[in-house]
Amino acid sequence: MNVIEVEKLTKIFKIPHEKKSTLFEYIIGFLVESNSYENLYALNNVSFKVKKGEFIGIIGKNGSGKTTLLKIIAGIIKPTSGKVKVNGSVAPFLSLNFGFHGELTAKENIYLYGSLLGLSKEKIKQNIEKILSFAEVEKFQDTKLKNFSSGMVARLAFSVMIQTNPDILLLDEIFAVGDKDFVPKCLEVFKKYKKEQKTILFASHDLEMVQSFCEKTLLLENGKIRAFDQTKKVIDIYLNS
Amino acid sequence: MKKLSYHLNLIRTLSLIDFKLKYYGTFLGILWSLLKPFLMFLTLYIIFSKILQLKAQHYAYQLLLGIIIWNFFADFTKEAMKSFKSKYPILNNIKVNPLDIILVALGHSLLSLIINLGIFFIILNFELPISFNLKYFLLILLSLIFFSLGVSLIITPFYLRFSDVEHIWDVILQLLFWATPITYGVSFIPQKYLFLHLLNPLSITINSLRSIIIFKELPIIREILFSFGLTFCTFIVGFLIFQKLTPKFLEYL
Repeated sequence: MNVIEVEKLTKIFKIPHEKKSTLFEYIIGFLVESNSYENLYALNNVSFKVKKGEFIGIIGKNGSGKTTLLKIIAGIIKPTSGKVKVNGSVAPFLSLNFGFHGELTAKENIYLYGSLLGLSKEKIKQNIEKILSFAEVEKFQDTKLKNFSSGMVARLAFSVMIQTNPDILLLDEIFAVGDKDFVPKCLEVFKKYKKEQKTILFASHDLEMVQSFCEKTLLLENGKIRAFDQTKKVIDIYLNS
Repeated sequence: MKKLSYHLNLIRTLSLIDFKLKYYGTFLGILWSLLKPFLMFLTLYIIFSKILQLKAQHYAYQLLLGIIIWNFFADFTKEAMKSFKSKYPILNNIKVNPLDIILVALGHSLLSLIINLGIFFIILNFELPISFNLKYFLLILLSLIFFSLGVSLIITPFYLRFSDVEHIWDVILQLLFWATPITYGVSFIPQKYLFLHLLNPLSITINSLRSIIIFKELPIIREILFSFGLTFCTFIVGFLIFQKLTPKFLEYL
């Protein structure tokens, strides 16, 4: 069964030659006909399918479209053309701070993000101890998040997200924080998810990590698919290019 | 059903958090949400009642009620507009329905409105009995909410694209404040400008609420129906504009 079907996906970002953010600049630009922009193809006619239970690595240089692809699958941005079909609940984990609010306490942030991810108030209340202990921040539940280390924030974000028990997990560079306790925690969860036939899309520069977790890997180059095959083959192509 | 409970839960949680964050770190905290309209009231009251010697029955109550309703409209439309920028970290990480962001701003402005109206009734209680037609009261409030929502839905997408809209809106609000019978009553409006009152649902809202709550009279039904019609149109137009433009303009954030 396919859980993700991506069909002819194209995303164009219009990059203006001059940045105009005010109406006045826009009108002036219109009058002197300088409202020109360049089309940047973040994704160019990308099609692929992911089966249930697969762990897919996504690699490629910076700016190759990895994050854009994950954001479109997560529904955060809309594609210019093409279709994405997703079967099942999606949990996006696209940046390490998760967009948490620094002025709120850990507990308040859990309620904030729990409700954004679709957890009911009761469910959060029941699980809040579990979330805090998994993130190892029980002692700091009433501390403002701006006083947390980046590792603590990452653990908390990951901990909230796995409470939603998603079918599909989208991960973007989550090991960049280099927190010693965070990585083993994630790996533990990944192993469990593998058994439960959950699907993970894992964008990373860390080829070793991709190699050890993903049976298949997608190599993106300038918004196009360069290769989509067994991880070892794809990494070879990437390293030799 | 599950979808609806998701949206309601999200709107409730985020509204409460926003309400808290707004006055976070200020010395008086949530008290500011009360102090602001009352300080504004005091200023205008001194100017109009003491200096300009405007004579109107129960002028203080009329003025206060007008200010409370006006503040809801002004605060909500400004808040809704800016909330996409302040919530950018969230929007960049999680899929959220843009309409929910507007409704969060509404929830948190409504909270202020309810608190302010509560205080208003307590003060009113000292001089006048609080007995009024609840049905009309709620109906008029509902139309106020939909009108404000419609206006927010119209201006917000444009603000996302052109940040000037913030300043333009400030000027328009200033104009609208004086064009709406807040510091004066509808009876002060010259005959030839009376159409402006009819075209302004805020004006009719304030006038009708004054009739019901302060003068214990029935509002002018024809005016109310007219204002409901305008409100409905504003809301539909706003909804269509918002749904069409927001996804596109969100990328400019």
